[in-house]
Amino acid sequence: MRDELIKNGAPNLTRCIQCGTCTASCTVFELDRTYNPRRLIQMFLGGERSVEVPKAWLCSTCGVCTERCPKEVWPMNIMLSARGLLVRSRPPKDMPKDRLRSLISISRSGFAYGRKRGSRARRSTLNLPEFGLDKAQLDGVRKILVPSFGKKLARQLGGR
Amino acid sequence: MKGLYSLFLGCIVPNLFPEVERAVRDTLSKLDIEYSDARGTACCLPPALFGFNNDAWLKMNLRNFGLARGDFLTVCDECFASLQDARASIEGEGGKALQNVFPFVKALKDIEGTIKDRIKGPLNLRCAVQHSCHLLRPSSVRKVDDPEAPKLVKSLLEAIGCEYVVQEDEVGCCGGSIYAGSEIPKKLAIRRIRGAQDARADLIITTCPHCLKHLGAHSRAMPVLHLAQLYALALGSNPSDVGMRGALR
Amino acid sequence: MKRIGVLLCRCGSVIEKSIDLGTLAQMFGTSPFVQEAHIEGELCNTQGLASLTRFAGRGFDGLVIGACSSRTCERAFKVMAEGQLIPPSLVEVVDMRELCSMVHADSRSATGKAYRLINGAIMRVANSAPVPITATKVVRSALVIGGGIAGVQCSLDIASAGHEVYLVEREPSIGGIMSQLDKTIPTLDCSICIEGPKLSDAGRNRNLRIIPNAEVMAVSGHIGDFNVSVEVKPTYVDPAKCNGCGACVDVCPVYQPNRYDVDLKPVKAIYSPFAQAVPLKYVINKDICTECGMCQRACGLSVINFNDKPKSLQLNVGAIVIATGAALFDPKLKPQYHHGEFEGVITNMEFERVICASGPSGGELVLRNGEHPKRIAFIQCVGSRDTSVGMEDCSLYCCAVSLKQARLIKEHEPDAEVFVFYTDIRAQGKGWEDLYARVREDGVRFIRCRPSELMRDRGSGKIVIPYEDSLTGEGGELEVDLAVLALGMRPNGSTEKLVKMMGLQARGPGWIEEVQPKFRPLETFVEGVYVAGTCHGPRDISDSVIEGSGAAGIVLSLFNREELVCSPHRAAIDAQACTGCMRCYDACEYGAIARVEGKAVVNENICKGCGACVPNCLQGAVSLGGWSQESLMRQVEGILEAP
Repeated sequence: MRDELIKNGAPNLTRCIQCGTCTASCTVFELDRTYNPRRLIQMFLGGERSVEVPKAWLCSTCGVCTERCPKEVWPMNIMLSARGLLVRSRPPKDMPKDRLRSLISISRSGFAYGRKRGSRARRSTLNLPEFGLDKAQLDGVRKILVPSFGKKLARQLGGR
Repeated sequence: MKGLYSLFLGCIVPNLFPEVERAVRDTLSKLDIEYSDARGTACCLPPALFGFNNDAWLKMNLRNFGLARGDFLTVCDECFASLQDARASIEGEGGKALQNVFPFVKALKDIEGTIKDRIKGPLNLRCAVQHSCHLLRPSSVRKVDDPEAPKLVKSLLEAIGCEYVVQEDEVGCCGGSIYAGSEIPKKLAIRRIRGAQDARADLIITTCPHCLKHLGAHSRAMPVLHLAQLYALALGSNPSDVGMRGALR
Repeated sequence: MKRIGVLLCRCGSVIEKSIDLGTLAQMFGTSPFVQEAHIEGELCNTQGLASLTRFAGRGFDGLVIGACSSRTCERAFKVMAEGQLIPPSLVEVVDMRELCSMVHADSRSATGKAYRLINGAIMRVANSAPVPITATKVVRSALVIGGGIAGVQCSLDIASAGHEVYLVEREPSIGGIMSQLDKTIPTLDCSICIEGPKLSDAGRNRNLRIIPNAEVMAVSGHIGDFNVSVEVKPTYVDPAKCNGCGACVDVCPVYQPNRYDVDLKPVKAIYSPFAQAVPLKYVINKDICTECGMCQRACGLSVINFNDKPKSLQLNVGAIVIATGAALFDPKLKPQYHHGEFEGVITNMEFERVICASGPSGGELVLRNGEHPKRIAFIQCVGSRDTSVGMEDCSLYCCAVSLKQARLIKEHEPDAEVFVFYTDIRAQGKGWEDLYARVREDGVRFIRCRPSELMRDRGSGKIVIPYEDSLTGEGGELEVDLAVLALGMRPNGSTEKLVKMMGLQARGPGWIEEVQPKFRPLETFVEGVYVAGTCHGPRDISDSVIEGSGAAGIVLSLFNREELVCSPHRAAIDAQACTGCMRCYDACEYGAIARVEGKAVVNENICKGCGACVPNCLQGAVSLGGWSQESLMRQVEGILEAP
């Protein structure tokens, strides 16, 4: 797993000396002591895929760890890379439901959040131009999204 | 690059907060900041939400850059981070040839000196700021402001006669990008709101719709607004058009 | 016709295995330039060298040796040959090992290549004339820049050997960082108590001239003969007459921060940095002095003169040792630790001054509000092992210093709770591991975490440290009265200035670079300029003293020589052909070429023989000693000649 991470967005993984600054600065660790970025990184460095890997979804992406890391390991990027691997090799099961819904929404409308009821009318009242993608543009988006994710996810995305 | 900005609206604002979009457009036009809509652009697929999936992320954003008719001006700071990173990950001349990406606050900062003379009057509000994580960090890439002691939003608030309220946890995260289903985002939101209350702020100001949505969902009495909404108000927009509910003004 | 001897080395069997030495010897034996061709065993051992000497004594004009690429061997061969009256410029060593036998799979290719290279060498030597050897005198005085412990040790060693030493020091007194410390590691000796006598020795040594309040402004010349310009700042006190009685200090009404006490306790405008200063002469900081004249009136010896001016000294020395020391990392570069903002956050040096009996609180461990701290935390690696601030390396001394300071806290406040936040405890010095064990016995708690930031409790003002113990995975927030930042070392302004001034190499954040860190650790890339102490990287007191003596050894070895012989491989300019265009000057990285009366002239003592100037000259007026254009062309022809 280590080499996969290094190749997919976490090239600085091996710079880590396990100093603990990332966990000490972690927004989530402060409230949930079981989410420990340093520990996760140590597991990743060990190369073995651990059952704890899905914890990477808890990262708030606040970036304080990356800002403060003395070895420029970019811990946040490591978490994001781990998520990417999860999504590719072990699809939807480990992806939080709301994220999955957002992805489906993107393939439906081009945007992670769909329109609220009455938003079209509201926009018109506010003199805002119409918002949204036409069919051709949407096709362009789908062409990119669907092949990039694992088969199961792709079916869910393309199947709409 | 001077000239027209290409306005990148993102997903949240146009679909969920059209009043904020109204406020952004009013602010830009009243300050004579020229722009045109980046029509046809789609979600920037922020790695912060979906993890690194270089294939899809790069392609979606290359598609977005292809539709840009000027440097991007983002309304959402997560879009700013995602687009900026995508641009940086394309090495060499190819990357440099793409349009630049700027956050909304940068457009304001560039003309900061002229703002005082253009507003109708100072707003005299005590504002607690939820600083946007994706705007500030990692500072070596974002290069927008000092990550330990940010000054940009503070000076922009002061330019429209508002007071920047000092909070105990100044640059902490609101939790808005943690997935639903965890208790943590709620705790972080409440902490920010309570902190603003303790500091006797009139409202919470943010520059990112993710923070706006998340804090707004957990706040009852404390108003949560996008900076553009305050600016639009200060520049003379109709309060209800830019999302001001009765409590304020 | 030149008579050249050719000697081929078997090199154990490394060369012999793939190169047909017999055929080569035969072929060269028939060359019109070669008098004799011979094969030998290992030329590098004593027997081999003896054989070489005998061979060289057969009256050849020049020698071509086929051997390995070792520079040490080349030097040895030339020395032996010189003893047999063959000038070193007519001895050429051809690499048959790394260039031929080691890189060619078959014997034919290897032998063929060896033939060509040796043939080329023969042609070059046959078409060369011996280059006259010049020598330069060695001025037997030394300049040591920096009066810290390394500089003082170095100066004492050289002076005790009977040579004149100038010790230039920026501050009013010698002593450096060691003079600011309370105790030393690991024995906890009082620092100034052991340093003081050494400083005193330096002050009394007749050969050692301490030049305080001074700075080196310019350096020119070369090894054995440097000219140095030193500026001595005005002190407004005549050092010849001042006897250090201190009557002036008592009456002076103006205060200023004292660098020696890290600005924690002020001194008067007229001051001496510390009690054991050498020389013990007062100086006035004119920037804040009001010239009220109280000191003049109090002084019984009329030593004060408000019209003092800077003085310029010109020194002529044979060697220079740079011992300018280091500075500490600026904690402002880590704003998340809030030094200078939170009262409860101090640096390791500030702690050292506070705990020291001669310091601002008389050695009492107190906070600014006068209270004694009950809980203290040390934060290690501030500005070390940190690429985000450009300081990649470990500073080597700070772990042990924190251990020492923890121990001192326990001595002063036995009931205090002490915590050390660390990444690794680097206690690599002699006796340091023992100190580590002792401190743990004292009950000091070690938490393996580099804290991300220091916070402050709004109510109590105490420092709050969020952390994760990386050995247990447990998180927490520790509240302390005092947090001590263990600052790393960084190069200081004096070092930076000298690097620029003298064209030295620096690496990383600006440490002076040595020629070779293992075998030539105290030499810079400028001949005659050496380093000692922390100016080329973090180290502790013992190592600084070792280096001071080491550098002195190199200098004394230099002084032992009657004269310095220049390598014959130096550039020479034909004055007749020279048009004074100075294109050669543009090419020279060493500053060895100067314009004298409209013509370019080479200083052979600075010239390194790199040859960059040669192709730049449009008139062909520059030649490199031992490598004339003519001889190089013949060498090329020799290489191209098929075997």
